Amino acid sequence: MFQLLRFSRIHKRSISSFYELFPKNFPNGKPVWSIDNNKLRKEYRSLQSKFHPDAIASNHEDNDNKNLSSLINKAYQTLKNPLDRSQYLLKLIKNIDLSNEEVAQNLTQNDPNLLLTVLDVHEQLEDIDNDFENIKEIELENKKRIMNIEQNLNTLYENQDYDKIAKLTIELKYWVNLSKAIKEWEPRVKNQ
Amino acid sequence: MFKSLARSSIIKSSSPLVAISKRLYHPNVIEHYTNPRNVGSLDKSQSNVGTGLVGAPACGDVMKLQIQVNDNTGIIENVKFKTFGCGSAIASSSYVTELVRGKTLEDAAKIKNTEIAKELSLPPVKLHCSMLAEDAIKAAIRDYQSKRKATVLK
Repeated sequence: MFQLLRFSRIHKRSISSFYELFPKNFPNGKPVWSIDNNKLRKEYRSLQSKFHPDAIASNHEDNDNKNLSSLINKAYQTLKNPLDRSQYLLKLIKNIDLSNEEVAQNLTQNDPNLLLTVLDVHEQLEDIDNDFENIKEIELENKKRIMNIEQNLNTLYENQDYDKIAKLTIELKYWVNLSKAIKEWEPRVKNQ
Repeated sequence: MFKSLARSSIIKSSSPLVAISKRLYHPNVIEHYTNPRNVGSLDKSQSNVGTGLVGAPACGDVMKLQIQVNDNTGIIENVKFKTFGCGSAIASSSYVTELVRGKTLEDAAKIKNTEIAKELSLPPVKLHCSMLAEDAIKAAIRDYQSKRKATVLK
């Protein structure tokens, strides 16, 4: 019990990045791009089994644990997802905030080729009535695109080329949005 | 994409999702979102059609806005848009198509994002959606003008 309390207090006071919450995965707590998703999930689960409010029957420090549990959750969701992780790293390391439209706009300058491709695929998706084969094709194509970007990010992070990383992360956001649109797609009902 | 969304919101208008979105969005946004005006495309190869394509890189939204201009009068006679993005971005572009139809290019170029944001009561975090719509109409006008210059010079 004391150990748990100490853990939660230490981390609430001094955490400087999400990486520090997962000492088994990141022993020195330094922010890195490459992560082992399985290993991270394992540590996340073991942490939540200690700190999740449901896992502790009665506890005077319920609120502390609740906060820590939700912090661990937020950290895990951010680190496991390549887009979120890259956005987080850019903010953390270079103070580049891609959620700010002005910042992001300055980096991309409305790249016309990218926008044309994005629009084109969205329109293709929109034109599909109920052909699941076509949806699968678009989905596969998009997965390849996303994987490709993630691989490029590996190299760019190794070389610490943050300007290119920022641009590629913005592009990734467009394709992740597309994959959401693909998930939301539903066959068109006839006579409409 | 938003066609299907719009459809589902109309059909399931009593669903909890819409009830929630009603609390988050101003009625004018909901109205344009569920019943967007001037959705579609114009033939961009036509010499009197100007196309504006803009993106919101932080959100990952794209907006295409097209105007068809009367070469003699300089009046925007037809306008279409397609926006793949959030409700505010769709509503902003839908509203801007209503604003520019029948206007001269000169007047259309004067439209400010604040006008759009006011009509739709956009909250500060969504102001960039109205800026996107302003950028889109400006880009469409520029595209038309550069095409026209090219034809006049021939």
